[in-house]
Amino acid sequence: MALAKEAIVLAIIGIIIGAVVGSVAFPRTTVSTTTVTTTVGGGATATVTTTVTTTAPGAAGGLQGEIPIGLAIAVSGGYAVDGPKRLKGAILAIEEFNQYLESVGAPFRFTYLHEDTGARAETAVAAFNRLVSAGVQVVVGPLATSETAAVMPIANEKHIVVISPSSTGIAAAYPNDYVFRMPPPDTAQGVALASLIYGMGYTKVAVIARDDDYGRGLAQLFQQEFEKLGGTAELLLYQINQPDYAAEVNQLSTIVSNFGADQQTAVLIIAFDTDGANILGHAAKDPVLRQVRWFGPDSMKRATFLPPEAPEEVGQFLVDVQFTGTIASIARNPITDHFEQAYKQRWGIDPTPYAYYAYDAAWIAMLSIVAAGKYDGAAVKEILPTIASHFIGATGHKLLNENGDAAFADYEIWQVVKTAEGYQFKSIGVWHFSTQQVEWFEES
Amino acid sequence: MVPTLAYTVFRAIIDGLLEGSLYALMGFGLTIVFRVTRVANFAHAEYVTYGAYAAYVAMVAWGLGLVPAAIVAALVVAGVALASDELVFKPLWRRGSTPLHFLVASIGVGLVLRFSLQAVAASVPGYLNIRLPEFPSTLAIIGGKVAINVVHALAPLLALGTTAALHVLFTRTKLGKAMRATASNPTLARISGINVIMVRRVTWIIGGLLAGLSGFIISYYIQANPEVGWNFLLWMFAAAIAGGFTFYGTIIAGIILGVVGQVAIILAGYYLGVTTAYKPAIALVIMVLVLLFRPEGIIRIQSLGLRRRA
Repeated sequence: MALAKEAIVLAIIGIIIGAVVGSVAFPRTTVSTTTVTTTVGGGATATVTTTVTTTAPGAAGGLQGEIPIGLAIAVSGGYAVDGPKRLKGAILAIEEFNQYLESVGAPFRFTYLHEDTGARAETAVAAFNRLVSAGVQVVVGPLATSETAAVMPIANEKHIVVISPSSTGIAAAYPNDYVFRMPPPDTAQGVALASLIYGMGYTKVAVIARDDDYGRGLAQLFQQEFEKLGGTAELLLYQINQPDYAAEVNQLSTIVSNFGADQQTAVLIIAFDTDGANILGHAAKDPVLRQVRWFGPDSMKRATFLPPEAPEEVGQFLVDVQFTGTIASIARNPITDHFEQAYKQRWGIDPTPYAYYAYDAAWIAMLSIVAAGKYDGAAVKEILPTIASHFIGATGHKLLNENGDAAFADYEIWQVVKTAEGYQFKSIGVWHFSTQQVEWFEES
Repeated sequence: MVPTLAYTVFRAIIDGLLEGSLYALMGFGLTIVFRVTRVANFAHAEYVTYGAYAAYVAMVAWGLGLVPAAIVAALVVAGVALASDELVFKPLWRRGSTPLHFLVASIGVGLVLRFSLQAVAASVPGYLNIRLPEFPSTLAIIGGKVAINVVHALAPLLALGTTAALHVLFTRTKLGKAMRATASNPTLARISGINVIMVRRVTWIIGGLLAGLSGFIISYYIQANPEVGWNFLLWMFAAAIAGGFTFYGTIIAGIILGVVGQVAIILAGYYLGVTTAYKPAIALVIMVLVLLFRPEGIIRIQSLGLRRRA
């Protein structure tokens, strides 16, 4: 009798365990198809219709309630000025996505958790860990390559998807990891800068660059490509987060003097906001550095370096030295126009270049979660490249390469000019990825 | 023909004099507060930042000129420094806290000041990176290669002027003598009838004035942000330690540190290929060597005829 009683109890326990395991392993799902219509403007108005097929899991699990997107975006340090503008791009995407979810009656919404990564590897790791502790599975950010490379091991170990909207350095380019990057890697920008500068007749270049993964990586790529073409490049790498860079500018001036400071000599500066503004402020006073042409990569196309944010003398210096540079060009499309209008309407300012990528990064993150049908980093990682390859966002098509980075891009060539409206970055040409040649819009 | 290296070293010297003057002004503020109140004040770095921002607000928002902006910077920071003491350090002192307690508390005060400013600066467009709207004009160009501008003259002159004024204060006035007496032995000073509370207040105000002036020079010289003072912390402590936390020793040590730091890193880069990343190491090495072999400071005060009252 007692044996029968035990058998019944064990059978009941077994049924309960089986029911729980079964419902978790094989959730009840329903499939629904939703059509989302977005009116986009710009020069011409168009209607973009997207059909999103979502797998809505049953009550046992799946997408329910609030789903957090981690925003590991620096708003201090080297990104004190531009970081907040990129953050706004990602937040805008989340707000838009939630409007769509609301309109189709979806049982879940995306929320965001923001952590300031401080533009430094160590602070990025701390910020990232806070997001992981909060249960975040998908993170938009960090911005810098040094930050992205620093959080990569944690992301891989804990299966957290990381989508950087602006990391381009080679130090974060690895295959089959949990890190994806929206802009193209610097392997392309190094070639673009080298062919641009050498093609303009400069054979000796003094490179002053941040001694971090982005600055060092791009400087070395440039040197390698430039010397392949027959030029000479001397690198001056500086430690970041110093109070002043007078000694570095003094050294740069010496290198340029030794090069002869002639028509074949140029300077390439690879910096962020704070350090870049300091270096340009000193350089504007340097009689030798004023004699040669200056170039810069994507990180130098920031309003921080131009009046009214910078002193008038610095703006004039950049015009005098014909400051020219590259940035991954955006393949304009109706979504680009929509983003620009929505951003301006929501935040009252125009987006800066990497705000576009932050917007796309957040959209791809959310679409991938919806497509995966569950909030799980491993599942999102598997489906994200497919989603990205079928995605056209504010920055254009997002086909990813074997490292999870944007596979290709042309590079816009900009130059600082002074117009009636003030100092501006004027687009003067484009470097084509396919031909590796520069196309000038007009004589510069 | 003068070789390029000569111009490079010459420029390093004038840049070093400028930076050294800043270290001296900042280090002097640290020293005076430490000697009188025993607070090794890490928040002094934030006072410098507040000086930079106060000068910027005075010029940009209120439309004041350079000199009024400098005065505003000094006064605002003097107020901040005094408030720090009244709200934090003096209550701790009354409870019998040790210098270690003061040090930890000063780190807390510094964090509160820095992140409060950061929060405000982040919410006001254009305030995260600031620079005074007036760019320092060039005074002379040497050999077509080295420009000497207003700040190169202003910072050393301000450091010298401040030192002279404080020298008069310490040696010719009752208040200065009371400050020195309190620095030497607070208990004896109190028994002797010195109003140590008043001395304490004046000390914090002087420390704040010096930090405010340093902040003004910084925002005139380079772009500043809410972390700018923090980035100078190592150097101001190096100046104070190398000067043995004595008034005049700190001034001289600060200027030496500035010049040696600039020239040494330039020569190390030129001859050995050492990058400027090692520049902060110079300050650290000097601090460690001084603490190991000459904890009273590298400057012999007696030999300068300014004997320290012990």
